[in-house]
Amino acid sequence: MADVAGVPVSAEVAERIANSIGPAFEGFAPIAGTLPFDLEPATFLLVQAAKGAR
Amino acid sequence: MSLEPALMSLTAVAKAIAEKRVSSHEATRSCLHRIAEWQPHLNAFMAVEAEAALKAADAADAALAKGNLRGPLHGVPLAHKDMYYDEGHVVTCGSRIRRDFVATSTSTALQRLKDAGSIRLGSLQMVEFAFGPTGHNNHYGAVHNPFNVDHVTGGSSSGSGSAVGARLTYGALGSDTGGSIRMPAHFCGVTGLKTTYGRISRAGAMPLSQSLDTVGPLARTAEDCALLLGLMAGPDPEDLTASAAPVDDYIAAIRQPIRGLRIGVPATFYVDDLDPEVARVLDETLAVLRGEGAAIVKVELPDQRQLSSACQLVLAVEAAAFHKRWLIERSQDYSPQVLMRLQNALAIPAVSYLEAMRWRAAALSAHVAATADVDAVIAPVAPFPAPTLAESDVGNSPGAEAVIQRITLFTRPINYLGLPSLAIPSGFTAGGLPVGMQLIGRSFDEATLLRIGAGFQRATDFHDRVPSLPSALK
Repeated sequence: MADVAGVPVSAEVAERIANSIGPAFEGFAPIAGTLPFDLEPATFLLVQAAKGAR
Repeated sequence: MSLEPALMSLTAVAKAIAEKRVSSHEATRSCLHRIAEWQPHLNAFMAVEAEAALKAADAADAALAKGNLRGPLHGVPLAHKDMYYDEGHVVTCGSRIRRDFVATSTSTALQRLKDAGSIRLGSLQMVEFAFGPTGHNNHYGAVHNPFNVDHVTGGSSSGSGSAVGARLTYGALGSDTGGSIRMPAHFCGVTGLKTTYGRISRAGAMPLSQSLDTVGPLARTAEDCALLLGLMAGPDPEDLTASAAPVDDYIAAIRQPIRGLRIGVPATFYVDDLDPEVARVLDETLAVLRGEGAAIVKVELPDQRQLSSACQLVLAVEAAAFHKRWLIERSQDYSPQVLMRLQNALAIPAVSYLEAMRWRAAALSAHVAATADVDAVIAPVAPFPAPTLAESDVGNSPGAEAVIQRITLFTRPINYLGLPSLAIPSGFTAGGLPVGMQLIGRSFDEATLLRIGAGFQRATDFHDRVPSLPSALK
């Protein structure tokens, strides 16, 4: 993945990256792949500004 | 004048200067005196500009003598986290890479405080590029906790927490992307306000994560934070993410009693596995709020671990994108931990990042529904008081990311939801370390949080405790 990004890292660093970021993926796993088709990031601002959210 | 001017609150000294009971020169000299005494032990300042500060103070006094009051902060000396661009000044961002960077413009938040009449004492230490929660900095040294110099300040606004806690400045800007205002406020015994995403312009503030970054103050009291927020909040043509939502009268809000407000206590997560002293302070805080007439009720919040994980994905990817050029060209100039964390983000697929961004609206909707019956939620800022510098110096060890995640466990979900949160000094451990609680509110409803915070501070004196240097360190 680091190669693809164009940032040089050693094999040791690559392994550490995989181990470090793993818990975030695990924590987000119940959500990943479950979102409705038409939900997009900017909807957040609409919810934030909606009456009742404030 | 019996009280050392540096020990006054920001609100009190601003009023005293305006009424000519204290001069700006006296206030500035008092802060500089304390800085000279404390800085060797705290390392809170990145730069102290004593001569320029006194010159600016004298100019403020001369203007006032002619009847010219510039604004609500006329002649008040302040220092800020060293990531707010200030034209003509070096802004290091706590990094080696920007050691000599001279800003060519001034950040909107800082400019608004200057327009209100504040003067510059210098700049404050911070974690390298604001990417870390403990207060360690390999390039400029760790910042120390004023209540016990063997302990951390929390980060990334480490200098802001330490300097306000030790009464070296009346207030300071911090920034909060994953807890960076609330953590130092909790560890250093000061009041810190993480604002709603979009409440204060971020123009001219060093970016870390454009979807999560927020600007906010650390000061001694909720009243001080109310004053500073009112001066900075509002739209800005230089930052289109700065909201046009109406800016409340925060000073009027803090004068309201808290009787009748409903404050929710999470049934899980924020109350699980707490250090016994943090659990005790939470109970005592609830008792005070009850005594002031607030209703304390249990709330069931959606899964906060999922929010924290989503926050981590967003923050890491956006930070790595800002830093990619330097990751390629100047990787040797980062400290090992910051480099590691930026490199970690390279393993996160774009689809995962975008899923985390897409879920934000649904997650906020669920939170709004879960908290519809309360005016605010209260929770500890962190599960434990400030650890020692030694035990939290994890560098880029294999377990470092886990340690970082644990420190920010209770703060990240709030950043992901973009909500405001006010950290208030709420008690002390038996060993004398501060413990803070965070009040979490609705989007753009900082007024209610400040109202509760001010009510709590009228009933307690934790925010008035001034640390003293052990005689062995003098």
